[in-house]
Amino acid sequence: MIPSLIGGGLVGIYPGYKVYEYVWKDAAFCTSCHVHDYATVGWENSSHQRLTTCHDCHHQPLHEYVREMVVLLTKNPKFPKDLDHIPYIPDDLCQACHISNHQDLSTVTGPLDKEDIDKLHKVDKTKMHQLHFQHKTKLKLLGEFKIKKIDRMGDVAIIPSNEEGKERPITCSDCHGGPSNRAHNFSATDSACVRCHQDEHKKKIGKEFGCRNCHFQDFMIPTSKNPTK
Amino acid sequence: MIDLKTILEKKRNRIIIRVAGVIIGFLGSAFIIFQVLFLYRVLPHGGL
Repeated sequence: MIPSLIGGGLVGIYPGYKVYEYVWKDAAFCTSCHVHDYATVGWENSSHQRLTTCHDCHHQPLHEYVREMVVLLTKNPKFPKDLDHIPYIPDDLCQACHISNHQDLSTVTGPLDKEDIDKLHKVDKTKMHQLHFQHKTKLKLLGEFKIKKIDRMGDVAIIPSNEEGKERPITCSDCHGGPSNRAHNFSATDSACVRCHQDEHKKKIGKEFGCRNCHFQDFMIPTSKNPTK
Repeated sequence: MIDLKTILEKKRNRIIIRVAGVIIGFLGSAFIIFQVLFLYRVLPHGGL
């Protein structure tokens, strides 16, 4: 019996690893239950699609997996109408790839190697990102906005207001999150700029060209190449 | 005198035990490997 157990055990290591790989690293596993077309399409069309998998960003404690199974069976949510808040992404998830020398890469399990992550654009080394990191805001966090049931039924995106709360550092989500139905599309929108900068360029130029036509490049220029510094 | 039926029965039992051992080992090892790797990923994010 014991040699058979050992033999079977050795053979079982490989399929065990493949099951883990499928569950943790393959988006096909997640999308087989999580039928949220708009979010899946958003991810497939984004720059993250070939570089990340679901678990690079979606983490939760162990007990949440059990709760999820219960919810799936008893009250399966239908998105986006059951999404009662604007998605809020904590900074550390973005920072794992997008700031230089980030210590905690344990969350990253997707196809990118550490050397590839090092080559990504690091926002703490760019002029305008750095400027925003140094400032604080009183705007409420995106996760604090509740979406009314009646608003969830329509196709119109819910744009977060400039309602104020406690002073806090500016987070990645403040600019790269935003309208409620843009799941997995993290490009900054003009509506995010206007939440803080509503008094700028009120005349024709602001209305006609928006914010990013002129200011986009300032978020990409490395600080070391900034002639004004 | 050794009964042929008994010999065959013993042989069959031995085969069943071996096959069962391989299957149990296979499933057990696959399950343990999966669990260890899965918990290694999940536990840093809030554990239980």
